Amino acid sequence: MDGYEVETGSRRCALAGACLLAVLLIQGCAAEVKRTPAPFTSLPSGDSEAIVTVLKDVEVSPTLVYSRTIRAGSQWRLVGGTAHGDVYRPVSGIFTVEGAQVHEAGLVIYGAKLVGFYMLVEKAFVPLDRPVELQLSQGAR
Amino acid sequence: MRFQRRTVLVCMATLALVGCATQGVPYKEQEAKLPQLTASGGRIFIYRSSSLGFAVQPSVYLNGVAVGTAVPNAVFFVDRPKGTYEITTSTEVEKKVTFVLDSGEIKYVRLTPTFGLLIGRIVPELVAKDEATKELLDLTLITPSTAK
Repeated sequence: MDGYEVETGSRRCALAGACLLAVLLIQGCAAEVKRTPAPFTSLPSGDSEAIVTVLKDVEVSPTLVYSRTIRAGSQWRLVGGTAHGDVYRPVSGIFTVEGAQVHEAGLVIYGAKLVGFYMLVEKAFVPLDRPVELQLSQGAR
Repeated sequence: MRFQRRTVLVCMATLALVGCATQGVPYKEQEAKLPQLTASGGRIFIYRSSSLGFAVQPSVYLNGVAVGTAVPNAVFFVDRPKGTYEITTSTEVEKKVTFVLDSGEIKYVRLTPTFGLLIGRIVPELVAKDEATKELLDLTLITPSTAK
C-alpha cells in the first residue's frame, strides 16, 4: 500500500514537473504572429474624426497563444486603411497583438466585421481565421 | 560557531539591502517637475514595478541603443522624435515590443519579470496611461545614465 502511494506521489510530481516545463516552454517559445506585409494609407491628420464604439465584448485570437478581448465601450478612431479594410486605433489606451514579441496594433474592420489587426510598426496585416461580427455604433458614446 | 552564523546572516542581509536600494528620487515627488515635451517629440517611460527576479537586471535597448537597465521598482524616461520604436531586453531570450510614438504622445513600457528555463526573463509590454500612472507613483525615478 505504502509503495503504491509513493509511486503515485512520484507520478504526480513528474506530471506536475512536466506541466511546469510545458508552461515554461510555451511562454518562451511562443510563435511569431503570422502576418503579411500590407501598404497603409493614412488619413491626413485632422481628418481622423471617425470614431466607433464597440457595444459588445469580442474575444479573438490572432495566434494560438495570446488572445485579445475588444471591450464593450472601447472607442476606436479611424486612422487609415489597407487593402484588407479600414484601420482603427484606440482613442485611449493601448492595443497590442502578441506572439513571441509584442506589437502595437490597430483593428482592421471591413464592413461591420473585424477581419484582423494591423501592426503599426511592421506595416503588416494579421488576419483572423474567421472574421468576427462587431456590434458598433458610430461616434463616441 | 553560533556567533559566526549570525554574523554571516547579518552580512548577507546587509548585502541584500544594499543591492535592493535603488538610487534616485521618488517619482511622485518629481512628477510635476518633469521637463515639458518638445512640440515635435514624445516621451517613453520605461519602468519595472516588481522586485520579483531581482537578480535579473538586463540592459534595455531602444532601437538597438542601450538606454538603461531593468532596475526593480524604478522608472526612467527618454524623449524621442515621433517615429517607430522597438524596445528589447535580452536575457536567455530576446523579448521586444514595437510601437509608434506620435508628437506630444507619452508611451509607457512596463518590464515584467517572468520565469525562464534557466534564468528569469524581463518582458517589455505597453501599458495604458491610466494603469501606468498609478504604478509610477510607487517607483523611484532614475535617469537613463544612472540606469546604465
